[in-house]
Amino acid sequence: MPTVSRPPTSGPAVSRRTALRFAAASAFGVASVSLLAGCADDADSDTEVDSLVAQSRLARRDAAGAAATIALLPDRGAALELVRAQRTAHADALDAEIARAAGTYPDGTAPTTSAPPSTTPTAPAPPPGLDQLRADLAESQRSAADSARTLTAYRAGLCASISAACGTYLAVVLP
Amino acid sequence: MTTPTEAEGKSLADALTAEHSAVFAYGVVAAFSNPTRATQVATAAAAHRARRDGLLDTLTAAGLTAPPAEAGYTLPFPVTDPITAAQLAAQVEADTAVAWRAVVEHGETEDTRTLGVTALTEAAVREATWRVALGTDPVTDPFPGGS
Repeated sequence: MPTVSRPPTSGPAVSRRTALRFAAASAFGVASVSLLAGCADDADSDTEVDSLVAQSRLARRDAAGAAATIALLPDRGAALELVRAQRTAHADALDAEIARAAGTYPDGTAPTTSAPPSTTPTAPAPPPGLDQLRADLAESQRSAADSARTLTAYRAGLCASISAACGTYLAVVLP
Repeated sequence: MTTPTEAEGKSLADALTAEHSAVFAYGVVAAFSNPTRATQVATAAAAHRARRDGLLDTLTAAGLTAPPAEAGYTLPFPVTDPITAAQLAAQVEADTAVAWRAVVEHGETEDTRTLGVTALTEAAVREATWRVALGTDPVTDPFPGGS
């Protein structure tokens, strides 16, 4: 059996390279800790509300997609109607939290957005079909789970429940 | 998983209590449920045991309080036949979902949040499966673990 002869090690116990690696690793560790700690500081920050708005849009998109797909697949109507109703409930709960974050004026009125959403869509989109709807729901599940990792307390819980609900649509309702 | 913080310990301990209770309840479910559902019961029970063991390890390793299993747990209603057994299983999943959503809400580290979302989703899927078996309408809770 051939033996490999190693040169005798000399010099300090911790080489320069190891020391540099260690320094880089600990700098990264400190950076990621401060990143997490920063989450809890500004509860009503714009990024939190942006995240809720994004989740609400995804919920309305999925609800519209499920409603449109009923026309393509009437035999799956009950399952698609369930997804439409519950994704709408998700959007409503998210919108309620967004409105709460916006607060109310002292006279009790709520601030309104400058451009109210148009009730008549310009051109109706074609029904997405079951495959596209499933892909959309999978995207919503991932996105809501990501929000649950970054938002504060109640908002994280809400997004976690929404992510779990999307998981049940994929696993049980529209298998 | 990174070591949970002390503030997270309380919600993780509550989740462990819920999983202890779920493991107990699935023993009753296994005794009374329809034999054709044996695989579903066994899979769900194994998932709860795995969550319980994982939480025990995490809490013990972090030096936090890990509540032990009680000798017995009070069931929410008497279980006498396959239907009440399935109802108990659905109830157990709803209860564990509440505990896991609380883990997310009190989570301070990304690992704890991820654990909470994963366990919440798994409980929600199992609850929906039982509700399909029971013919509950709707088959899914729009906000699993929420009020």
